[in-house]
Amino acid sequence: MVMMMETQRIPIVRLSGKLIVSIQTALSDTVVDRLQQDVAAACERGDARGLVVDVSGVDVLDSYITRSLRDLAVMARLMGVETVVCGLRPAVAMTLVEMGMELPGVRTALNLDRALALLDSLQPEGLPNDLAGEGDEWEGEA
Amino acid sequence: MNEIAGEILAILRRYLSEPTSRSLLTSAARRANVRLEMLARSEIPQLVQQLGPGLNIFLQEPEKLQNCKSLLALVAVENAPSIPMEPPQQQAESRPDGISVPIRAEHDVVRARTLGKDMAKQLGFSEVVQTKVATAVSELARNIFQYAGTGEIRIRRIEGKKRGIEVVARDQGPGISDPALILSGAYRSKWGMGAGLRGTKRLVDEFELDTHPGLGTTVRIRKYAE
Ligand SMILES: Nc1ncnc2c1ncn2[C@@H]1O[C@H](COP(=O)(O)OP(=O)(O)OP(=O)(O)O)[C@@H](O)[C@H]1O
Ligand SMILES: [Mg+2]
Repeated sequence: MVMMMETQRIPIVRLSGKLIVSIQTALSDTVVDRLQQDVAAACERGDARGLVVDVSGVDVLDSYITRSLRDLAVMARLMGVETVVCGLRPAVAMTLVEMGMELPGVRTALNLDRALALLDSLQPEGLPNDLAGEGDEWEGEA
Repeated sequence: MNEIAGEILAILRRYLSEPTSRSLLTSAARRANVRLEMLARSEIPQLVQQLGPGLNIFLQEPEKLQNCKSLLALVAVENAPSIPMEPPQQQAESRPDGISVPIRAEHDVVRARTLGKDMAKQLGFSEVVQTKVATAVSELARNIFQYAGTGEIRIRRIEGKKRGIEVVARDQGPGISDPALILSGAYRSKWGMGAGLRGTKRLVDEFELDTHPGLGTTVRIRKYAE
């Protein structure tokens, strides 16, 4: 039996200019913090236009984790990468609403396909990041 | 397989495939010298004990293993022979307490949350109620870890007219100086929402906060089946 002593790491996949993070593990604070650092490092490479965080494998989002996700999205945006959170389970979404903790300022999509499509609509394929306009303008006009 | 054996199988099924669960259960029954068709409440502890080695092999993840064993232990307690078939509410109160999860490390927050969800599922609660219970447990456990350092989460079922689940979070930390302000929603903690306790209150049916500066904090919540 192998005991996992090291902090679990959530893999970040690169797919045609996008970063895709699929969370399939119980989120401890350490895992979430680690993810934030890893995403920051991935954004820093500069070749990503968007980030999708798939939370369909997450069965509980409490206030800390929710805030961390929001911070992750804000941080990515500051680095020129738009974030879409997708796959929120209905029970999780209902719980968040009831707690009064929506994800303000974070784009959401039903599933991975729609999240990718949403990112494409925000920034036309093939346009390098720095030519795509001043990030924030894309938002209001969508 | 009778109802009691079915309950144990249902717990195993949460973590293992159907065939594995069944074969573990039947071989454990053989070793424990009990019959699953007529499993008695008093025989549960010996059966659960015999399940141990098999679980150690099949459940590689330490966390799942521990959760599964805790749930099994709970069945044994809940079905203790001293409990009458239909206990009046008063007696339900004095029943042996359910699961206790010590909170000492960040990892325990995840464990408590997972157990809360498992137990709500075990009691047949809807996915939404399971999620609410788990989220509430997570908030309370995290507060213990963040502000008190160590403490304990107890989770037990409430039996009687209204079926439900009770969670008690207790610590001997610094206490909360202005609980009314925090619950009013006017409070913003230094790192953000300060939404934990207020949000928890909104998720559950009963919420009691008992805190004494310098002595500690106890939060008791109850959620009933919808
Ligand atoms: N067990 C506890 N012991 C001591 N103080 C606590 C405890 N639980 C909460 N507090 C205090 O009450 C405040 C509010 O707690 P609450 O969980 O509502 O919000 P938070 O922890 O600050 O933020 P969030 O839960 O949204 O991450 C905390 O900032 C802390 O000062
Ligand atoms: Mg909190």
